[in-house]
Amino acid sequence: MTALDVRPAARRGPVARWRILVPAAGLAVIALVSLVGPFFLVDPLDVGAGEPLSGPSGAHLFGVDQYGMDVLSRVVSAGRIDLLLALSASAIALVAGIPLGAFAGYRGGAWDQGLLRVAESFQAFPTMLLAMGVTLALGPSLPNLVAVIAVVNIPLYMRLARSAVIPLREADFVLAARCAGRSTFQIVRQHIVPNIAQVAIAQFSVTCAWAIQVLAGLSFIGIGVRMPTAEWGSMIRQGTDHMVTGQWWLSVFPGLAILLTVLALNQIAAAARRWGGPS
Amino acid sequence: MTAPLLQARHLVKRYGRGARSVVAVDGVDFTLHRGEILGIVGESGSGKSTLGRILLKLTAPTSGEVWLDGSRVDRLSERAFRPYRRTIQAVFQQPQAAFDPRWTVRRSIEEFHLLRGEPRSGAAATIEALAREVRLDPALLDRLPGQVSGGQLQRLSIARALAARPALLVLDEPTSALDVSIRAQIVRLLLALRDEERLTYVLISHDMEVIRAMATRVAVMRHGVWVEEGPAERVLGAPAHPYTKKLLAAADAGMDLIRPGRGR
Repeated sequence: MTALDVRPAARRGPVARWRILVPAAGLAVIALVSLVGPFFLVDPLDVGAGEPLSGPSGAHLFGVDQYGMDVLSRVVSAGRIDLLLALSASAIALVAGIPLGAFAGYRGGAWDQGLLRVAESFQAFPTMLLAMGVTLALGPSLPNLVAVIAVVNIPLYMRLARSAVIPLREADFVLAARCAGRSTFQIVRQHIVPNIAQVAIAQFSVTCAWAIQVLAGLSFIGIGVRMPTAEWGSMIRQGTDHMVTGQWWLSVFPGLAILLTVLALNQIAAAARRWGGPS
Repeated sequence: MTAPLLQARHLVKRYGRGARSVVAVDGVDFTLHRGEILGIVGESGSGKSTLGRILLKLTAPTSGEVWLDGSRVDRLSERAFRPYRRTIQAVFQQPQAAFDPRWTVRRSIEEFHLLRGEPRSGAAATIEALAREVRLDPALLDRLPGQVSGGQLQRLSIARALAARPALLVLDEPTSALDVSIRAQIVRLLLALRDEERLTYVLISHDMEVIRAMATRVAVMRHGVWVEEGPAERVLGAPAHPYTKKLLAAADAGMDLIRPGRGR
């Protein structure tokens, strides 16, 4: 059984279907292009790809940047880094946060309070500031970026799982499972976690979108992915100086890439939430 | 003489501490022998469901003892209590809430069949036999709980409890969530199963009609206190405690309002 396959087929109308299929298809296209695109395009680090600052043309669809690198090629290869970092950071946050939160919520008492306080201490900082602080302290390597984004999101997943679990803890079917002699671990794994899968999926999509924005934000202020590696945020930053003089293509195309990716992810989250809503 | 199947000794359940604590169960004592049906009546909030949960070891009592089949069980760890889970099983009030919404009914029943400690290979046939025992088509087993009616699902939750092959069932308002017409079917089914499976029931209900139809002994609970207990005919026919009289009068009045002219 797949995670979303709970309701009788009759209750899933065509509306719900396209609401998730359209953004999912959009995201799939973005991912596919990022994945295979670089094999068909010029080297994104080749400073001799074209005349510096030349506009979009047949040879360079998205134009050329101030160093002579092909913008299309860079936008596409940046997608690889951004999606990979966002996905892996969100996955780590989900895998760590959901079981922790589910456990805290199911056990209650001192475990719950202890874990909750730890989560709160992370959430007390503005996330962007926390990410900046840790990146500055540990250095802006890619694994560090992933770790920061993951750690900042673990409390979100914990709280999400916890609040989903608390009403389930007293649900009759969970009490029934206790009557069947199931252990706490078995109950959390078999009855609780699958029943909060939908909220987790919705949150996962939101986290990915957020991670892409944070990554772009950190790169934009110069402490994320560094030049010459292609990354959407740093590309926007590289292009801002030239916006005023009319070379808009340097910033607009990576900006559009972020916009479309985040939009698709958020729409998937919204659809997943609607799908998993109360029956 | 064999040991009583279930014994409660001065059970107390207190929620919270100090001046703001609430006593849900306040010093309940009783002994239940095999074959009896103990009806526990009382208004909402009288502590009868909390008492049921203590007996099922879903809630720990603040003080007091529970003895099951001659052994004291209230202090046992969950793991140590596991063998006793076979003996005591439950049927809950809301059948739709009592099944995991994403598991087929068959899988939910299988979870209880595991308690028998029998090989899984025989489970399918046993579970189909159980469905027939509660007078249902085994085809219903492969549906999700949302695809089965409330009355059918309550039968299936009885079948599920029986899958553990218990001696004692705690029935917590087993008919309250059901239509009146279906209520009578469930009562008849429970009475028939008691004879077929040699079961003992603790029947928690605020429905006097169900208590009257099923209980061999009746206990009246108010604010956590056991105010009156005795053979069903005596408590329901000649109640001694003023609260019992009030409860019976209220139930009769309510029934007359709903179904004028129908007496028992």
